[in-house]
Amino acid sequence: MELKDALAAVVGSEHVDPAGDQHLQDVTENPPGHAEFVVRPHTTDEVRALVVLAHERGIPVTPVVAGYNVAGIAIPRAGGIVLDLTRMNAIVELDREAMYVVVEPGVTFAQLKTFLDGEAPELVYTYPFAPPFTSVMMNALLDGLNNLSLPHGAMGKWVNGLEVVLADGEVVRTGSGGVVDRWFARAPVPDFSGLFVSTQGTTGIVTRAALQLQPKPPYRRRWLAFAEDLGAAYGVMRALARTGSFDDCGLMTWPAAKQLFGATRDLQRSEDEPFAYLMIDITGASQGELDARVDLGKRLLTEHGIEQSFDADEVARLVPALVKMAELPTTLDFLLDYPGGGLTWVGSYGPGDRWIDGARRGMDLLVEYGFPPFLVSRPMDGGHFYVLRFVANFDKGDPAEVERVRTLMGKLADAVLDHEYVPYKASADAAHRILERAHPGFVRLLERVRDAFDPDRRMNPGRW
Amino acid sequence: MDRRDPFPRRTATPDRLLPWIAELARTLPGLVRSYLPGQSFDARTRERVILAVTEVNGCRYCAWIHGSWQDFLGENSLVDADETLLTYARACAEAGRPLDTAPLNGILPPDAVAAVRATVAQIEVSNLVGNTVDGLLARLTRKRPLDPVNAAGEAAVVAAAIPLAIPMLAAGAALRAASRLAPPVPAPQIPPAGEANLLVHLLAQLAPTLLANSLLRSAVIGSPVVLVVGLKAGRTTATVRAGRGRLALENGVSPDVLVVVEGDVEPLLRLASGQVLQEARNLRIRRP
Repeated sequence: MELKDALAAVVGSEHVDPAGDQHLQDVTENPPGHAEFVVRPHTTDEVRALVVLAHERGIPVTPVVAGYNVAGIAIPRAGGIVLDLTRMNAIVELDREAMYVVVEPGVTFAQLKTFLDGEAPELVYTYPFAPPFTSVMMNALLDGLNNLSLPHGAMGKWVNGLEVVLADGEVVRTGSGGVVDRWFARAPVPDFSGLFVSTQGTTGIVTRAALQLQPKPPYRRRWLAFAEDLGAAYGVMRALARTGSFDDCGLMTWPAAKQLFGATRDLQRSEDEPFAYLMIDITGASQGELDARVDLGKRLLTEHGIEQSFDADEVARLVPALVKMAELPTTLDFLLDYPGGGLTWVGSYGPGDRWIDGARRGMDLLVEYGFPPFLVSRPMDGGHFYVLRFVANFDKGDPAEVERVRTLMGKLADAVLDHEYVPYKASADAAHRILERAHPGFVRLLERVRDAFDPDRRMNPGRW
Repeated sequence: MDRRDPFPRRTATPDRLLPWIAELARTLPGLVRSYLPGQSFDARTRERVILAVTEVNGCRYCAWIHGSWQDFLGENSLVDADETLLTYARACAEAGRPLDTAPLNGILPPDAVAAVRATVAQIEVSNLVGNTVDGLLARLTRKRPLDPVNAAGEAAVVAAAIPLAIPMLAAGAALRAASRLAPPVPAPQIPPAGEANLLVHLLAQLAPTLLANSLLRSAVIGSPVVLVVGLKAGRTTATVRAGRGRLALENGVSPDVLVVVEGDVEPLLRLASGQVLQEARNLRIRRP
C-alpha cells in the first residue's frame, strides 16, 4: 500500500496532506526541512498505529503542535512524516483534590486558562511569555519557564506523569498514574518521566501529560519596576527569590520596551532611561499576607537602589501597549510580527553567581553582531538557578542577516556555556555544543537511552 | 374598560419619593463629597452610575444633562469595580428603593459606598421629577387621562423643581457646548519609535486619557501659545509641547520649558485618572 493510503487508513484521508511550508520551517534561522506527509491523529490509538506504521517502514517521525519552540526543534530533518498533534486537544482529567490536570498535546494555554477559570477557579496553572495558541504539554516537556517558575521551577518539574507511545508502538505510563488511577506525583515509583523531558521527542511521542496545578491566591499585585544596571537587577532578583515570598520576578532589558511600543530598527537607549524592567508578581491568601509581602518587596527594592515601581495592571489599563505584559499568555505580536518575520533566541539556565558576567557577555555579543541587547531573565525554583535568554528579531528574507544571526546564536550558546549556563529547548546546533562540553558519562548515558528507545534514530531525527 | 395609566414611566409620588429622600438625608455628606475633587468616587464613575439609573427610569432630561457631563469629562478606564457599581445602581432603580450595599462593601471604601448611595438617591429623585414633567405634559396633551387631582400634584412637583432644574439644564447646555468646541486630541508627534524614551511612549499612549476633559483639552491643545513643560519621572525625562492644535513629545528636558514637573512614574500616570488634586501632592513643580 502507498504510504499516503496507509496513513489515511489510520486517520482518514482528510487528515493526511503533503508537508507544506507551515510544517517545514519556523520563525527561527534554522533552515527549512523536508518531509513527505503531515498526519493529524486524534487519539492515542491513532498515534500508536502511525508509529507502528513508521516503525515497520523505517520512516522518521517528527512531532509538532504549534511549532513556536523558537529553536527549530519541530522542523523535520530526515523526511518521513510530521505528526501534527493539534487535533489531540482534550483536557482529559481534572483532579481538584490532588491538584493536577491531564492534557493531550494539542491543549493550548488559552484553552487551559479558560477551562480552569470555569471549572476550578481556586486553582491555577502557570503561563509563559508565549502566545495563547501554544501547547501546554510541549512547554512542559521542553522544560520551559513560566510565571510561577520562580517558586516552582522549570516546567519539567510540573510533570506528574506521562502516557507515551514509544518508537515501536508500545504505550507506556510514568509516575503514580503508571501504578494507580491517579496521577498525583512522580514519587515514589522509579522516576521515568525524565526520560521524556527535554529529550525533544527522541524517546517517544507523549500523548498525555499530568501537570501540577497550584492554589490560586485571591489577592494579587503586579509591579513594574526599573533597574538601572545589571548589578541592581541581579541583586533584587536574588533578594526577592530568597525570601520565598514572591510569585515572579521577570526581567527584560530596555529593547523589549522599545519593541513593545512599536520600534523595530535603530533602537537607542537614551541616557536617562532604565536599563531593565522587572515584572514582579505578589500574591496572598489574605489581604494581610499580601500587604506584608508588598511591604517586604518595597523594602528589598529600596535596599537594591530601585526607586521606581508602579502598579502594572493599573497602568496597563491606560497604556494599551502594556496590556500585552499584564496578563499571560500574551500575543507577543511585537516579537512575532517583526518586519522580516525572524525571531530566535538562546535561552539557558545557570547559577546566579555567573549571571552578571554571562548577561554582559551575551549582550555584548548581540551588539557586536548588530542587534539590540535584548535580555530576558528570572530567578527559577526559589533562586536555585537563573535564566539568561538573549533574543534577536531579524529579517528572514535577508540571507546575510540570517547567516549573521546563525553565527551569533552559536556564539551565544558557547558564551552561556562558558559561564556555566546550559541552553534549554536547545536547537540542534546548541545541543551539539552542549554535548561537546558534556561529561563523557552524560553523553554515553544519553546514547544508551536512545539506543534503548530508538535504535534507528527515527524519532525526531537531528536532535541531540 | 382599561383603567391603567398609559404613561409608562414612574413619576414623583409621595410613596416613591420618600425612600429616596430619606436615603439622601442619611447620606448627604457622601453626596457633597462625590462632587468634590480628589475623592475615591471620581466624577466619571459618578456620571456612569447616574446614567445607569437614568437608563432604567427613562428620564430624558437627566439623560441629556448627565450625558453632557459625561461627554465633557471624557472616557477613563482607570476605575475599579465598575460593573459591580453599575449593577448595584441598576438594581436599586429597578427596585424603586435603596438596596443593601453588601455587594459594594468588599470592593469600595466606606466613604465611596456612601457616595454611591447618595448619588443613586439623588438621581432617583431627579429622574422621578423629570418623568413627572413628561407625565404632566402627557396629561395636558391628552395622551393620558387629565385626572385633575393628580395633575395638580404633578404641577406642584414641577413648580418646586424649576428653581433647580433650570440651572441644571443651563449647565448641561454649557457642558455640551464646551465638549463640542474643544479641539480633538491630536496624534502626538514623537521621535522615531526606536529613539523615543519610555516616558515619551507612555505619555503618547496616555494623551487621550490625560486630555479627555474638554475644558483641559481646550486650554492645553487649544492654547494660542505653545506650552512647553518638562517632565521627570524617576530618572527619565521628557518635554511636552502643547498648543495651537498640536501635541509634541521629546526625549529629555528642553532648555525652553516653563516648568519641570517631577515625581515617580505612578503619580504622573495616575493624573490620567482625573485625580489631579490627589496626585498633585506627590509631584513637585520647579523652575528649570
